[in-house]
Amino acid sequence: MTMTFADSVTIALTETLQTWQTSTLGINFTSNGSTLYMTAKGKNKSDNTNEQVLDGDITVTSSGGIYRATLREGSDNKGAGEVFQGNTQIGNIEGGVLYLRQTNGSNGRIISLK
Amino acid sequence: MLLLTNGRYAAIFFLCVVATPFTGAQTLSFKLDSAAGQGLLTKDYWARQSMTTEAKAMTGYADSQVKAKVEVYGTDVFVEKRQQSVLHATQNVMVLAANNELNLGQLSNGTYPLAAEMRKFEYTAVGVTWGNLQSSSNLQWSWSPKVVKINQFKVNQGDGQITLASNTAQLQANTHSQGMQTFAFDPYAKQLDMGYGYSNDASLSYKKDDWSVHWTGMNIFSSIEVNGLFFSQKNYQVNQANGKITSSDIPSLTGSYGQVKQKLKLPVINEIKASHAGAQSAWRQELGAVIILDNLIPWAATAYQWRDYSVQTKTFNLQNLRLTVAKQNFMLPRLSLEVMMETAFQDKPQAGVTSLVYRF
Repeated sequence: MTMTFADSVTIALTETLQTWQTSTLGINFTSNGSTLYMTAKGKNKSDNTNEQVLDGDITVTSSGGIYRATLREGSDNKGAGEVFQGNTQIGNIEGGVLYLRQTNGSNGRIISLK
Repeated sequence: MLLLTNGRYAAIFFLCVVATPFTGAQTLSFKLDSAAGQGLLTKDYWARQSMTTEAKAMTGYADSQVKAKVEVYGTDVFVEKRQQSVLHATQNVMVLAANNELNLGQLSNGTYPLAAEMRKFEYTAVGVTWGNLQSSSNLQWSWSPKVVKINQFKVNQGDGQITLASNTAQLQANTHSQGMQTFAFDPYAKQLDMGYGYSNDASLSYKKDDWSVHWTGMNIFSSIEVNGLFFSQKNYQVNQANGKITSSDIPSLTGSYGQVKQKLKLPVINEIKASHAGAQSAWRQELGAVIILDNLIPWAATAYQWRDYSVQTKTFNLQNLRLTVAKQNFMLPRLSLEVMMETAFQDKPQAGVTSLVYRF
């Protein structure tokens, strides 16, 4: 399913069934030719139900392929994860807060996800 | 400078000095000095206090030291390991710090001010003391310049407010922290180099008849260069409505962190006092004030001397009461011990050894 907004921003939602119990979920944000891909695996919460829950990390990738982030629920029930530039980790997510440290030596940045 | 790299070198230094033939009186001492302008400097006390919309603030400090002093050709040479902390904070910050969780829903609507500054340093120092403290002059002075090597430090500052209204809550605050370890993800952290610096302690007193006035200044001029000091700056803009954080153009938390080269200053602690003691009287009355982070903690004390014993009662800002008992020649000749008990007239008091000095 694809939603197109007045400013040409589109949001595409996809679900591909992998087995009876699991599927691959995807959300693509496209704006001005650039796309942000969010993908995750889902699984049935229990047998004989259709309600799905996340199975593992959410992976966020930019269309340029430069940046990639993984998201999961941390032990404190808040967002946790890592951010990569290529194969180099440049940040992490702790307690729902994103910490980014650039490779050029400039100061790190702190931004909450809410 | 290797002398200051750790306590073992300091001890070796002291033993070498002790063994030299031109030394005079020597002293080994442990001292703990502290003051609080409100209540006690304990978690228990502040956990029982309440949040307030008033701009009530408290000031306090703690200064503990282990010191070896020896007289060389009439000049005191000393090695000391010292931990000094100074704090100025609104009551709300103290309450929040002492409670692991605080239910804001129990508070009445209003604006709760938040502000705090805390500076904590542990350092080793070598220095000398010049002055005429041993003379019978009415005007006495001392000056103790010292070379300082910081072992640990932590600096935190912050200000802001919590605003509560019907079904909404808002936190606006800025914090700035400095320390020895990175505050967040940092694979590129450089080695921390704390280097050496200097500091100066001094005192001045004047006596006339039964009266005397006295000033003591600790770390009145100090500078220690730290290369690679870790810092973190955060800005909180949290809006909550009906129990949920609401979105705005600004994220709830933004900030920066990293490393910087900076000259640190040790906490400045100034104290002034006026004393009255009759020539034949065992009683002494004192009025004074401690000045920390531009804030004043007034105090009053009365002391009584009997043989080797000295008993003192002291109150800071009329908010607490401290009883101190000192005994000269405690178990050994020239060994003195001082213990204290302190209460804020509510909850349990605190007690401990505040001084142990051996002269030989």
